[in-house]
Amino acid sequence: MKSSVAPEATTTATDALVAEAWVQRPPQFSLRIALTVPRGVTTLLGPSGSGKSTTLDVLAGHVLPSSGRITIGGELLLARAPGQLPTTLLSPQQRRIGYVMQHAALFPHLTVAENLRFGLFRLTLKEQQHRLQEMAEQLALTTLLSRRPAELSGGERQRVALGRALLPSPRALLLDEPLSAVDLPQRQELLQRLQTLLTQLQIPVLYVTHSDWEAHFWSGPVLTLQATAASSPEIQVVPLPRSSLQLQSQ
Amino acid sequence: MRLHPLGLSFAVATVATLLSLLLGTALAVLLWRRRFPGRELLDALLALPLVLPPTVMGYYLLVLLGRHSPLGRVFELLFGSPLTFTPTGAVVAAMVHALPSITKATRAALHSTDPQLLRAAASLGAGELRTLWTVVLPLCRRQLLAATMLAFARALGDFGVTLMVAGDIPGYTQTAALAIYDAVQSGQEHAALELIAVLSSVSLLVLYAVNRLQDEK
Repeated sequence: MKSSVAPEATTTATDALVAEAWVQRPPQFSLRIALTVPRGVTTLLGPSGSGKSTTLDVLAGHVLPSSGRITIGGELLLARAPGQLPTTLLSPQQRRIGYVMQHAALFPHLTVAENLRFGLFRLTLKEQQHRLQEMAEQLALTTLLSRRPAELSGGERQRVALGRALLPSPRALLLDEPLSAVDLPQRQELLQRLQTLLTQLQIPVLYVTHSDWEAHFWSGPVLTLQATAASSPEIQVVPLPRSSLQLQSQ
Repeated sequence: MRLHPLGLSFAVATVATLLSLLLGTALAVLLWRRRFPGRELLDALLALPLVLPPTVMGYYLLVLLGRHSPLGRVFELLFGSPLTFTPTGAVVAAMVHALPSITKATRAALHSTDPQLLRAAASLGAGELRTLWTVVLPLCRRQLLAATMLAFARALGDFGVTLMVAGDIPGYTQTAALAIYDAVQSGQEHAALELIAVLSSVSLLVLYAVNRLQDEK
């Protein structure tokens, strides 16, 4: 096991998402995560199969690591010592972390409006409608509200998924390759729109991609996963200021 | 035309199917989402009616629900009439066929749910019940409808379990399947043929509709 680069506490904003965790699925898979995502956009760059999606799943609470500690804004989301049951474990529902999945994962039987409104069930209908309208305007979805996901383009689907994740006011946002299912001509436009929206957000955003070009588009910190020689069991990490991530895999 | 056995058959099959839909869906969800002691046993028990002779299933139900059994007594105390050898007994008998077919089809449908959708719903704050009600079951509705229709057809056709649990009391517990047997035995071929024609056409219609439903997917 290699020691991880400790997150620099002094530069960590109080609302940062901080995680240190091990995921082990014997015999093939072993992933060590040690990262700090401050307010703003942080990019996680790496080839497919390197554990990017698993990292997001661990943060969102869909995958339980073998051990680790995850906090957001100082609040403990997960604490688990090796070989023990977790002493603290917040469910995905309790974490309030927005998650935009790779293929949008829109509910196919619901309209765009119903998809957007999905996470707002605790609010009154009037309040839901108000927020929905506001978000639809920001994401240029107002004319698509009555459509179903099957009638949307890749870019439109991602916009709906983004709006749906942002509407319940999450404390952090995870984006898993948001451009992967989008046609080339639409990518630039979607990226511009994402930039306008994400830079306004005052929350930690972790943007996962396998493309250098996308990673460099964002001015924030970049966490890099790079596979070394095939015989090596380790994946080296290039930590950047304020953020670090280390990965070991077999 | 002997309306009563047919009327009873349709009433019994309808009630049995609706009860099986509720219970079968709940059991399928339980087996899908939860790991608990006795899970494998419950799973096997639910498939038992598919392999055991109806008379054996009927015998078990008689022992379990008869007037001298604890469950039978509780039922009689609550509803004022015994469970066995009544139309209610016929409903239980029909459920022996309807329940496994609904549970089986529902489990298959539940397992085909895209796990990404479940994760998306959870990250949006929806608990298991809300996700089940707003995402999983609506997505399975076509398979659920097909399973319900098949269960109805199977419930309609029961002979052996009904005979054991509800008896063959003309005008009270004699369903169409039993009435056909009696009619043939007593040489009333015409009466038997009428019932046979109705049961066969309803079953054929249901199967045709189920196939259409599955083709449209």
